[in-house]
Amino acid sequence: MALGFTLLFGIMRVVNFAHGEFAMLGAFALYHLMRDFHLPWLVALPAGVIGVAAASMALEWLVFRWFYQRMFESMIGLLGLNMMLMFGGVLIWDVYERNMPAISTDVLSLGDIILPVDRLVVVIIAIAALAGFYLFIRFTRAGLAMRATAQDVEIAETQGVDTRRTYRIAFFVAILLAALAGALWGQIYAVSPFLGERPLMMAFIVVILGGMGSIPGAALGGVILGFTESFVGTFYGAAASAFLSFGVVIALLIVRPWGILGTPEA
Amino acid sequence: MTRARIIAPLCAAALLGWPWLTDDKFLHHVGVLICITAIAAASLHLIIRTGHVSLGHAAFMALGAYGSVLTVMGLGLPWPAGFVVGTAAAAALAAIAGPILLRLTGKYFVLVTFLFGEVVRMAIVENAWLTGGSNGIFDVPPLNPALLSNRAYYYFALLFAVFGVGLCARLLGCEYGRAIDSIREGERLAECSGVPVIRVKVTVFIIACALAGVAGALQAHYIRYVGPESYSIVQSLNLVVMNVIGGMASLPGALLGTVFMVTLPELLRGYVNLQQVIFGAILFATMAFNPGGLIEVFHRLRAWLRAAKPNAIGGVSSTVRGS
Amino acid sequence: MTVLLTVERLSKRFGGVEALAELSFEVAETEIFGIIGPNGAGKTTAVNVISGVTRPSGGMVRLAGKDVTGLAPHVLVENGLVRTFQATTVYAAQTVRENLRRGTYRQIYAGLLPSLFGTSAARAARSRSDRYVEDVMHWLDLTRVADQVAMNLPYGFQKVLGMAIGLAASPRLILLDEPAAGLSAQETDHVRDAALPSSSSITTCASFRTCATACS
Repeated sequence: MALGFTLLFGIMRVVNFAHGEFAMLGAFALYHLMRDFHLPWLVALPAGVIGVAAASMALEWLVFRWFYQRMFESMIGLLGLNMMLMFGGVLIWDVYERNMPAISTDVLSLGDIILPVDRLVVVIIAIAALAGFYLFIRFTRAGLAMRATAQDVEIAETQGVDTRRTYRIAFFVAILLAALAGALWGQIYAVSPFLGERPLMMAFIVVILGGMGSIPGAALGGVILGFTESFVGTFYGAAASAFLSFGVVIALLIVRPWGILGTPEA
Repeated sequence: MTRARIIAPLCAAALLGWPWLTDDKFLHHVGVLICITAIAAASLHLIIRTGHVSLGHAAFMALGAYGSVLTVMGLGLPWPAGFVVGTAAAAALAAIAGPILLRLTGKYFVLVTFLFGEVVRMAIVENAWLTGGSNGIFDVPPLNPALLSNRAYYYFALLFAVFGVGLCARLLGCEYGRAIDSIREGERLAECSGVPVIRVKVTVFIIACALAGVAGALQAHYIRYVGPESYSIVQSLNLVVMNVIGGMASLPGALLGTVFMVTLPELLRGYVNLQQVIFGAILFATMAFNPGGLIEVFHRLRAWLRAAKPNAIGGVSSTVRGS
Repeated sequence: MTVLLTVERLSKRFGGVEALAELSFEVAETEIFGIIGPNGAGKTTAVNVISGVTRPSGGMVRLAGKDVTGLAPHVLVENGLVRTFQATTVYAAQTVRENLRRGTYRQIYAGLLPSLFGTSAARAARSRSDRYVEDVMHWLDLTRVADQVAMNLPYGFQKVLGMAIGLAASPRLILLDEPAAGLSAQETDHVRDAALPSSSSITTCASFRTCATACS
């Protein structure tokens, strides 16, 4: 979630308040593919996720491209999109939660430690996604174009980078990641049009922790948040963990708004 | 001068007289909502005029609402005490959080107020012993037997609205307002002309949040219920939308946006979700294509009409933006 | 002549770069003091530190005997020290007159409550400053563009406007940061003539010619 969010910010300078809704769409895609089309999980997951990302390109053309490099307008305007998608989802589906069959109900025992297989699968997929993303950014021409655009749009354009195409690729990747996260989230928790809120909050927190626009920051932030939330949540309750995360983020925004690995803006 | 002399009493007469033209309780209800929401939207407008968009304004309404209700129901004090406590609570939180939050620039301020609003809401839910938690507090006693009808409450709310919105208008129209605008348009320059930037921002923030508290208290005693869901990000966002669609740099714009946003749901009664979709679409369209809002549309229309007049006063028209 | 500004061993370090190293000088009343140096020498840093925009790493600044080191810019303005900016810094969407009115904040602001209620003191301050604004415009030859929107003005006029906004605060001492940068010779003379009759000023310049003609 955080990775896609920070990608959109770093390259297009857009704060995608609607990012959670793409996660929601990913979850619904997986749900319907498995339930109505009876596709096995291994097929439904990539199909649903890629499908959502492809379909979202229409939104890129309709909505997002008006906000590139306009950070302030993007915040409020995409909040509008968030509302449209969330309540549009309620209109299309309904407010009730649906459950999806878990990836696996098995459990892995390593000595005294019990690891549920489905969570393990999520971890593996997350690592694979991050690794794949890293390879993409580092070693492909598109990735290079994206890094250049993130640093300076105008110079990148004068150097011959097709910014329009780069934006579209970045958008596709970001939504792909969001939909993937949402699909997995939906399997572990439940699927509803409001699914996106929590992941969006978490993406915010992670990105602010790690630094807006910094990709390693997103990874670092994710790890930190994940650990603290689980730890505090298990021992002190969910509410305490939520307060703590929010409190830390607010404090961080005040003291060091560019996060741990970000760069202060002029 | 003379135009204002005619329009002002006409408006006053209209505002005071229309409830007697109809016995429809529903219309009176909408009137009350417009008055209450106008206070909240106008006070948010004050904050926006300093250059900060707050996504947590509803949290201060919540403080006013809960503060007043708890004082009246828990301590058994008369409602004026409740209102004072509610407003003071909102102002106090603004005074504590303001100096810290207002040091942040644009996008960070939006994020922080977003999170801040959520923290307040969570705090309300967690402290169920005091606030009734997610269920809220029901059966808030009416303020006064005379204020039981919607029409009566309308006049009550109108009183506060005139005071609240009037305060905002006066604040923005006097020299202090000039300083506010200078901060928004050029903070560094304003500071180097002697404007104590942080002090002004915090003062405005405290006044604005106190007014939000008043609006919250009014609302709580009207619908006679308080609950955390009434003061979530959705409410804060609605207030922002009202300011944005009307035009962020003008108070009349915010009021226009308020009327629009309060009446539209009433026309789409029963289609809550569709309303939100439409609001979202309006928000998107305004920010994407016309950040100046409806007021800018109005100005452009007026300029176009003037230019189209055959005997218009000739010459180069000034490009100065009014308001 | 009495000393107005004393700068003593002012230093500013940015990480490993020492932008100012023990800078010391004095400026007397009605003196025009020039700071000259090539780009990157630290002139703007000096102006930033003295005017309170940046905090110094060491040293002291005294204005008319009072220690004002590291105080916020608006406090310095209250004490009579105003600075201008190297890049054109004006309220782009407002008219020249409105720009200057905003610059007179220090004089016309009578306090929140008097301003809110429009007391006679507030109104008197306002009309006093309105007259002063007209004077400043006349003196800097801006009257003919008084109702023009700042962003439509040519570059030279905007620079003069920036200086005018500073002068509108009726400072005892004005710090001009490269007032002639980017201006033609004629525009430079316009600026110099404007600065001359005023209070004391410190001007930074990169060109020897401007310094030589302007300074005491």
